[in-house]
Amino acid sequence: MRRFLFLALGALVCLTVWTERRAPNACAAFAQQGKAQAAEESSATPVVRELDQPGLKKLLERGAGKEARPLLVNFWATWCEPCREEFPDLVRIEADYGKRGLDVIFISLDDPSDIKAAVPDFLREVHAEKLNTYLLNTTDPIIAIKETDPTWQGAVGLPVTFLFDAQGKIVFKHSGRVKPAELRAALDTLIKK
Amino acid sequence: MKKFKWLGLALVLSLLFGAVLVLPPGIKGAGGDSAAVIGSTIKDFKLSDTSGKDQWLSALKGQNGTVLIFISARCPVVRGYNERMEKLAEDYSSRGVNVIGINANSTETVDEMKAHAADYKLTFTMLRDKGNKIADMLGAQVTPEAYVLDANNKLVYHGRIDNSRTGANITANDLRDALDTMLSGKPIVKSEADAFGCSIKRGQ
Repeated sequence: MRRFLFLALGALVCLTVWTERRAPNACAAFAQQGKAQAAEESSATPVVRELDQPGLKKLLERGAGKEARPLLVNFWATWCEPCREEFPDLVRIEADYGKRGLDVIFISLDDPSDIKAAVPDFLREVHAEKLNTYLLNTTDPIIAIKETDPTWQGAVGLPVTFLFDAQGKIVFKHSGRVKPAELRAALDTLIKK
Repeated sequence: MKKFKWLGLALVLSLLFGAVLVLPPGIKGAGGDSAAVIGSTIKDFKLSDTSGKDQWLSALKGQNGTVLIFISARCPVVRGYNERMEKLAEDYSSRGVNVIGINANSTETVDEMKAHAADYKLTFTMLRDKGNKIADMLGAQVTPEAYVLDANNKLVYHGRIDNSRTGANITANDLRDALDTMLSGKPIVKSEADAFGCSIKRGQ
Protein backbone atom coordinates (compact mmCIF):
# COMPACT_ATOMS: atom_id res chain seq x y z
CA MET A 1 0.00 0.00 0.00
CA ARG A 2 2.82 2.36 1.01
CA ARG A 3 4.65 1.54 -2.18
CA PHE A 4 1.52 2.16 -4.24
CA LEU A 5 1.00 5.59 -2.63
CA PHE A 6 4.65 6.40 -3.16
CA LEU A 7 4.54 5.43 -6.82
CA ALA A 8 1.24 7.26 -7.36
CA LEU A 9 2.73 10.39 -5.78
CA GLY A 10 5.82 9.94 -7.97
CA ALA A 11 3.70 9.63 -11.08
CA LEU A 12 1.76 12.75 -10.12
CA VAL A 13 4.92 14.76 -9.57
CA CYS A 14 6.35 13.43 -12.85
CA LEU A 15 3.25 14.54 -14.67
CA THR A 16 3.52 18.02 -13.13
CA VAL A 17 7.23 18.20 -13.92
CA TRP A 18 6.64 17.06 -17.49
CA THR A 19 3.84 19.59 -17.90
CA GLU A 20 5.99 22.42 -16.58
CA ARG A 21 9.02 21.10 -18.57
CA ARG A 22 11.31 21.32 -15.59
CA ALA A 23 13.86 18.87 -14.12
CA PRO A 24 13.57 15.95 -16.65
CA ASN A 25 15.51 13.64 -14.36
CA ALA A 26 12.99 13.86 -11.53
CA CYS A 27 10.97 10.86 -12.85
CA ALA A 28 14.06 8.69 -13.08
CA ALA A 29 14.92 9.62 -9.49
CA PHE A 30 11.44 8.57 -8.35
CA ALA A 31 11.69 5.32 -10.27
CA GLN A 32 15.04 4.58 -8.63
CA GLN A 33 13.68 5.32 -5.18
CA GLY A 34 10.61 3.15 -5.86
CA LYS A 35 12.82 0.27 -6.93
CA ALA A 36 14.99 0.66 -3.85
CA GLN A 37 11.93 0.59 -1.60
CA ALA A 38 10.52 -2.46 -3.39
CA ALA A 39 13.84 -4.21 -2.99
CA GLU A 40 13.86 -3.32 0.70
CA GLU A 41 10.32 -4.69 1.14
CA SER A 42 10.99 -7.93 -0.76
CA SER A 43 14.14 -8.56 1.23
CA ALA A 44 12.19 -8.57 4.48
CA THR A 45 13.34 -11.72 6.22
CA PRO A 46 10.52 -14.17 6.86
CA VAL A 47 10.41 -15.41 10.41
CA VAL A 48 10.49 -19.20 10.65
CA ARG A 49 10.22 -20.48 14.19
CA GLU A 50 11.64 -23.83 15.19
CA LEU A 51 9.20 -26.22 16.79
CA ASP A 52 9.64 -29.49 18.64
CA GLN A 53 7.07 -32.23 19.22
CA PRO A 54 5.71 -30.81 22.54
CA GLY A 55 5.66 -27.39 20.87
CA LEU A 56 3.50 -28.74 18.07
CA LYS A 57 1.11 -30.28 20.58
CA LYS A 58 0.80 -26.94 22.35
CA LEU A 59 0.30 -25.13 19.07
CA LEU A 60 -2.55 -27.43 18.12
CA GLU A 61 -4.34 -27.09 21.46
CA ARG A 62 -7.33 -24.96 20.79
CA GLY A 63 -9.33 -23.05 23.33
CA ALA A 64 -13.04 -23.75 22.94
CA GLY A 65 -14.25 -20.40 24.22
CA LYS A 66 -15.67 -17.47 22.33
CA GLU A 67 -12.21 -16.48 21.16
CA ALA A 68 -11.54 -19.81 19.44
CA ARG A 69 -11.08 -19.62 15.69
CA PRO A 70 -10.96 -22.20 12.92
CA LEU A 71 -7.44 -23.36 12.13
CA LEU A 72 -5.81 -24.46 8.88
CA VAL A 73 -2.59 -26.48 9.25
CA ASN A 74 -0.38 -27.28 6.29
CA PHE A 75 2.61 -29.65 6.51
CA TRP A 76 5.07 -29.02 3.70
CA ALA A 77 8.74 -28.92 2.72
CA THR A 78 10.80 -26.98 0.23
CA TRP A 79 11.99 -30.25 -1.36
CA CYS A 80 8.42 -31.35 -2.03
CA GLU A 81 7.33 -30.36 -5.55
CA PRO A 82 3.55 -30.52 -4.95
CA CYS A 83 4.07 -28.43 -1.79
CA ARG A 84 5.83 -25.72 -3.78
CA GLU A 85 3.08 -25.79 -6.40
CA GLU A 86 0.37 -25.64 -3.77
CA PHE A 87 1.86 -22.88 -1.65
CA PRO A 88 0.68 -19.84 -3.69
CA ASP A 89 -2.92 -21.17 -3.52
CA LEU A 90 -2.66 -21.34 0.26
CA VAL A 91 -1.14 -17.86 0.42
CA ARG A 92 -4.23 -16.54 -1.41
CA ILE A 93 -6.56 -18.54 0.84
CA GLU A 94 -4.80 -17.14 3.92
CA ALA A 95 -5.23 -13.62 2.55
CA ASP A 96 -8.93 -14.17 1.84
CA TYR A 97 -9.98 -16.05 4.97
CA GLY A 98 -7.54 -14.70 7.53
CA LYS A 99 -9.57 -11.51 7.74
CA ARG A 100 -12.73 -13.61 8.13
CA GLY A 101 -11.47 -15.32 11.28
CA LEU A 102 -9.25 -18.16 10.07
CA ASP A 103 -5.89 -18.92 11.68
CA VAL A 104 -3.35 -20.52 9.33
CA ILE A 105 -0.09 -22.19 10.28
CA PHE A 106 2.48 -23.67 7.95
CA ILE A 107 4.71 -26.40 9.34
CA SER A 108 7.82 -27.14 7.35
CA LEU A 109 9.36 -30.60 7.60
CA ASP A 110 12.61 -29.47 6.07
CA ASP A 111 15.91 -30.26 7.66
CA PRO A 112 16.53 -27.95 10.67
CA SER A 113 19.62 -26.63 8.86
CA ASP A 114 17.28 -25.12 6.27
CA ILE A 115 15.65 -22.74 8.77
CA LYS A 116 17.97 -19.87 7.89
CA ALA A 117 18.19 -20.30 4.11
CA ALA A 118 16.03 -22.70 2.06
CA VAL A 119 12.78 -22.12 3.96
CA PRO A 120 12.91 -18.29 4.23
CA ASP A 121 14.22 -18.07 0.65
CA PHE A 122 11.22 -19.98 -0.61
CA LEU A 123 8.79 -17.92 1.48
CA ARG A 124 10.28 -14.76 0.01
CA GLU A 125 10.01 -16.22 -3.49
CA VAL A 126 6.26 -16.80 -3.08
CA HIS A 127 5.69 -13.50 -1.23
CA ALA A 128 4.76 -15.30 1.97
CA GLU A 129 7.11 -13.44 4.30
CA LYS A 130 4.43 -12.65 6.86
CA LEU A 131 2.86 -16.08 7.18
CA ASN A 132 2.84 -17.99 10.42
CA THR A 133 5.57 -20.48 9.61
CA TYR A 134 7.31 -23.08 11.74
CA LEU A 135 9.94 -25.70 11.10
CA LEU A 136 9.33 -28.91 12.96
CA ASN A 137 12.54 -30.42 14.22
CA THR A 138 11.77 -34.12 14.21
CA THR A 139 13.29 -37.30 12.88
CA ASP A 140 9.87 -38.98 12.82
CA PRO A 141 7.25 -36.87 11.03
CA ILE A 142 4.64 -39.64 11.38
CA ILE A 143 4.32 -38.72 15.07
CA ALA A 144 3.58 -35.13 14.09
CA ILE A 145 0.87 -36.17 11.66
CA LYS A 146 -0.69 -38.47 14.26
CA GLU A 147 -0.46 -35.70 16.85
CA THR A 148 -2.47 -33.55 14.47
CA ASP A 149 -4.88 -36.32 13.53
CA PRO A 150 -4.93 -39.34 15.88
CA THR A 151 -7.14 -41.22 13.40
CA TRP A 152 -4.54 -41.00 10.63
CA GLN A 153 -3.69 -44.32 8.98
CA GLY A 154 -1.34 -45.04 6.11
CA ALA A 155 1.70 -43.55 4.48
CA VAL A 156 2.35 -39.83 4.65
CA GLY A 157 3.46 -37.99 1.53
CA LEU A 158 3.61 -34.22 1.66
CA PRO A 159 1.79 -31.88 1.50
CA VAL A 160 -0.86 -32.67 4.08
CA THR A 161 -3.52 -30.14 5.01
CA PHE A 162 -5.97 -30.16 7.92
CA LEU A 163 -8.82 -27.78 8.64
CA PHE A 164 -10.12 -27.64 12.21
CA ASP A 165 -13.30 -25.93 13.27
CA ALA A 166 -13.23 -23.59 16.26
CA GLN A 167 -13.91 -26.53 18.58
CA GLY A 168 -10.84 -28.39 17.32
CA LYS A 169 -12.66 -30.98 15.20
CA ILE A 170 -11.16 -31.85 11.82
CA VAL A 171 -13.65 -30.93 9.11
CA PHE A 172 -11.36 -31.29 6.07
CA LYS A 173 -8.11 -33.07 5.42
CA HIS A 174 -6.15 -33.76 2.31
CA SER A 175 -2.93 -35.55 1.44
CA GLY A 176 -1.32 -34.24 -1.75
CA ARG A 177 -1.83 -30.91 -3.48
CA VAL A 178 -5.12 -29.49 -2.31
CA LYS A 179 -7.73 -28.36 -4.81
CA PRO A 180 -8.36 -24.71 -3.86
CA ALA A 181 -12.06 -24.91 -4.77
CA GLU A 182 -12.57 -27.86 -2.40
CA LEU A 183 -10.76 -26.15 0.46
CA ARG A 184 -12.61 -22.88 -0.14
CA ALA A 185 -15.93 -24.77 -0.13
CA ALA A 186 -15.02 -26.29 3.25
CA LEU A 187 -13.99 -22.88 4.54
CA ASP A 188 -17.19 -21.24 3.29
CA THR A 189 -19.21 -23.87 5.13
CA LEU A 190 -17.19 -23.22 8.27
CA ILE A 191 -16.94 -19.46 8.13
CA LYS A 192 -20.17 -17.80 7.23
CA LYS A 193 -19.92 -14.47 5.46
CA MET B 1 -39.73 -65.15 -1.02
CA LYS B 2 -39.99 -62.17 -3.40
CA LYS B 3 -40.70 -59.96 -0.39
CA PHE B 4 -37.45 -61.13 1.25
CA LYS B 5 -35.52 -60.32 -1.91
CA TRP B 6 -36.78 -56.75 -1.82
CA LEU B 7 -36.10 -56.48 1.88
CA GLY B 8 -32.53 -57.74 1.31
CA LEU B 9 -31.98 -55.24 -1.49
CA ALA B 10 -33.36 -52.42 0.66
CA LEU B 11 -31.03 -53.44 3.50
CA VAL B 12 -27.95 -53.47 1.24
CA LEU B 13 -28.86 -50.09 -0.28
CA SER B 14 -29.53 -48.54 3.11
CA LEU B 15 -26.16 -49.79 4.41
CA LEU B 16 -24.35 -48.35 1.41
CA PHE B 17 -26.24 -45.04 1.70
CA GLY B 18 -25.60 -44.97 5.43
CA ALA B 19 -21.86 -45.46 4.90
CA VAL B 20 -21.78 -42.50 2.54
CA LEU B 21 -23.55 -40.34 5.11
CA VAL B 22 -21.30 -41.44 7.97
CA LEU B 23 -18.10 -40.40 6.17
CA PRO B 24 -17.45 -36.74 7.00
CA PRO B 25 -17.62 -34.53 3.92
CA GLY B 26 -14.34 -33.09 2.74
CA ILE B 27 -12.23 -35.70 4.44
CA LYS B 28 -10.41 -37.42 1.65
CA GLY B 29 -7.07 -38.42 0.28
CA ALA B 30 -5.62 -39.13 3.68
CA GLY B 31 -3.94 -42.32 4.69
CA GLY B 32 -4.87 -44.76 2.00
CA ASP B 33 -5.13 -48.50 2.31
CA SER B 34 -2.61 -50.76 0.72
CA ALA B 35 -3.96 -52.48 -2.36
CA ALA B 36 -2.13 -55.63 -1.33
CA VAL B 37 -3.11 -56.75 2.15
CA ILE B 38 -0.85 -58.47 4.62
CA GLY B 39 -1.07 -62.21 4.07
CA SER B 40 -1.82 -61.98 0.38
CA THR B 41 0.49 -63.63 -2.15
CA ILE B 42 2.17 -61.31 -4.62
CA LYS B 43 2.05 -62.67 -8.15
CA ASP B 44 5.21 -62.85 -10.18
CA PHE B 45 5.87 -59.70 -12.21
CA LYS B 46 8.52 -58.35 -14.51
CA LEU B 47 10.06 -54.89 -14.69
CA SER B 48 13.07 -53.60 -16.57
CA ASP B 49 16.32 -52.86 -14.76
CA THR B 50 18.48 -49.79 -15.37
CA SER B 51 20.08 -51.42 -18.40
CA GLY B 52 16.66 -52.00 -19.94
CA LYS B 53 16.67 -55.75 -19.38
CA ASP B 54 13.47 -57.42 -18.18
CA GLN B 55 13.73 -58.92 -14.72
CA TRP B 56 11.22 -61.25 -13.11
CA LEU B 57 10.53 -61.19 -9.39
CA SER B 58 10.81 -64.99 -9.40
CA ALA B 59 14.39 -64.68 -10.66
CA LEU B 60 15.42 -61.90 -8.26
CA LYS B 61 13.73 -63.11 -5.08
CA GLY B 62 15.77 -64.39 -2.18
CA GLN B 63 15.62 -67.98 -1.05
CA ASN B 64 14.12 -66.91 2.28
CA GLY B 65 12.41 -63.71 1.31
CA THR B 66 12.47 -60.45 -0.61
CA VAL B 67 12.32 -56.78 0.33
CA LEU B 68 10.82 -54.42 -2.25
CA ILE B 69 11.57 -50.77 -1.49
CA PHE B 70 10.02 -47.98 -3.49
CA ILE B 71 12.71 -45.39 -3.96
CA SER B 72 13.43 -42.15 -5.76
CA ALA B 73 16.58 -40.59 -7.15
CA ARG B 74 15.43 -37.11 -6.15
CA CYS B 75 13.69 -37.49 -2.82
CA PRO B 76 15.71 -36.15 0.14
CA VAL B 77 13.99 -38.58 2.48
CA VAL B 78 15.26 -41.50 0.36
CA ARG B 79 18.70 -39.87 0.28
CA GLY B 80 18.68 -39.98 4.08
CA TYR B 81 18.09 -43.74 3.90
CA ASN B 82 20.57 -44.66 1.14
CA GLU B 83 23.26 -45.89 3.47
CA ARG B 84 20.80 -47.83 5.61
CA MET B 85 19.21 -49.49 2.55
CA GLU B 86 22.59 -50.60 1.25
CA LYS B 87 23.55 -51.94 4.67
CA LEU B 88 20.24 -53.78 4.86
CA ALA B 89 20.89 -55.41 1.47
CA GLU B 90 24.38 -56.43 2.59
CA ASP B 91 23.27 -57.74 5.98
CA TYR B 92 20.40 -59.87 4.73
CA SER B 93 21.75 -61.24 1.44
CA SER B 94 23.80 -63.77 3.44
CA ARG B 95 20.58 -64.77 5.19
CA GLY B 96 18.77 -65.48 1.93
CA VAL B 97 16.84 -62.22 1.62
CA ASN B 98 17.28 -60.02 -1.44
CA VAL B 99 16.58 -56.29 -1.53
CA ILE B 100 15.13 -54.79 -4.71
CA GLY B 101 14.67 -51.07 -5.26
CA ILE B 102 11.73 -49.98 -7.41
CA ASN B 103 11.47 -46.51 -8.90
CA ALA B 104 7.88 -45.73 -9.94
CA ASN B 105 8.29 -41.97 -10.37
CA SER B 106 7.22 -40.92 -13.86
CA THR B 107 9.28 -37.74 -13.49
CA GLU B 108 12.59 -39.57 -13.08
CA THR B 109 14.77 -41.04 -15.82
CA VAL B 110 16.83 -44.22 -15.99
CA ASP B 111 19.95 -42.04 -16.15
CA GLU B 112 18.96 -40.43 -12.86
CA MET B 113 18.46 -43.87 -11.35
CA LYS B 114 21.92 -44.94 -12.52
CA ALA B 115 23.51 -41.76 -11.20
CA HIS B 116 21.71 -42.17 -7.86
CA ALA B 117 23.04 -45.73 -7.50
CA ALA B 118 26.55 -44.71 -8.53
CA ASP B 119 26.70 -41.59 -6.33
CA TYR B 120 25.61 -43.43 -3.22
CA LYS B 121 27.27 -46.76 -4.05
CA LEU B 122 24.00 -48.67 -4.03
CA THR B 123 24.60 -52.21 -5.25
CA PHE B 124 21.17 -53.80 -4.88
CA THR B 125 19.04 -54.30 -8.00
CA MET B 126 16.94 -51.35 -9.11
CA LEU B 127 13.90 -51.71 -11.31
CA ARG B 128 11.91 -49.15 -13.24
CA ASP B 129 8.16 -49.34 -12.66
CA LYS B 130 7.02 -47.56 -15.81
CA GLY B 131 3.34 -46.69 -15.59
CA ASN B 132 3.54 -47.46 -11.84
CA LYS B 133 1.80 -50.81 -12.31
CA ILE B 134 3.56 -52.48 -9.39
CA ALA B 135 3.16 -49.40 -7.17
CA ASP B 136 -0.57 -49.51 -7.95
CA MET B 137 -0.77 -53.26 -7.41
CA LEU B 138 0.90 -52.96 -3.99
CA GLY B 139 -0.65 -49.60 -3.10
CA ALA B 140 2.68 -47.83 -2.58
CA GLN B 141 2.26 -44.10 -1.93
CA VAL B 142 5.63 -42.69 -0.92
CA THR B 143 9.38 -43.21 -1.11
CA PRO B 144 10.87 -44.93 0.77
CA GLU B 145 8.16 -47.51 1.42
CA ALA B 146 9.01 -51.17 1.96
CA TYR B 147 7.24 -54.46 1.33
CA VAL B 148 8.55 -57.75 2.73
CA LEU B 149 7.66 -61.00 0.99
CA ASP B 150 8.41 -64.35 2.55
CA ALA B 151 9.94 -67.30 0.67
CA ASN B 152 6.53 -67.98 -0.94
CA ASN B 153 5.96 -64.33 -1.92
CA LYS B 154 3.42 -63.83 0.81
CA LEU B 155 3.31 -60.21 1.99
CA VAL B 156 4.34 -60.19 5.65
CA TYR B 157 5.31 -56.55 6.27
CA HIS B 158 4.53 -53.18 4.71
CA GLY B 159 5.68 -49.73 5.73
CA ARG B 160 8.64 -47.69 6.83
CA ILE B 161 12.25 -48.79 7.15
CA ASP B 162 12.57 -47.27 10.62
CA ASN B 163 11.40 -44.19 12.49
CA SER B 164 14.24 -41.78 11.74
CA ARG B 165 14.69 -39.74 8.60
CA THR B 166 18.27 -38.95 9.48
CA GLY B 167 19.40 -42.19 11.06
CA ALA B 168 19.75 -40.50 14.44
CA ASN B 169 17.79 -41.68 17.46
CA ILE B 170 16.23 -44.73 15.83
CA THR B 171 13.86 -46.25 18.36
CA ALA B 172 11.83 -48.47 16.01
CA ASN B 173 13.65 -50.65 13.49
CA ASP B 174 10.42 -51.91 11.97
CA LEU B 175 11.77 -53.40 8.74
CA ARG B 176 14.71 -55.21 10.32
CA ASP B 177 12.50 -56.44 13.17
CA ALA B 178 10.03 -57.83 10.63
CA LEU B 179 12.81 -59.57 8.68
CA ASP B 180 14.38 -61.05 11.80
CA THR B 181 11.01 -62.33 13.00
CA MET B 182 10.21 -63.78 9.57
CA LEU B 183 13.57 -65.52 9.40
CA SER B 184 13.07 -66.96 12.88
CA GLY B 185 9.84 -68.52 11.67
CA LYS B 186 7.67 -66.63 14.12
CA PRO B 187 4.63 -64.55 13.14
CA ILE B 188 5.31 -60.85 12.71
CA VAL B 189 3.44 -58.86 15.34
CA LYS B 190 3.90 -55.42 13.81
CA SER B 191 3.23 -56.14 10.16
CA GLU B 192 2.48 -52.52 9.20
CA ALA B 193 4.09 -49.20 10.12
CA ASP B 194 3.15 -45.99 8.32
CA ALA B 195 5.86 -44.68 6.03
CA PHE B 196 6.84 -41.04 5.57
CA GLY B 197 8.44 -39.68 2.43
CA CYS B 198 7.99 -38.13 -0.97
CA SER B 199 4.77 -38.90 -2.83
CA ILE B 200 5.27 -41.23 -5.79
CA LYS B 201 4.79 -39.15 -8.93
CA ARG B 202 2.44 -41.35 -10.89
CA GLY B 203 2.05 -41.13 -14.65
CA GLN B 204 2.38 -43.13 -17.84
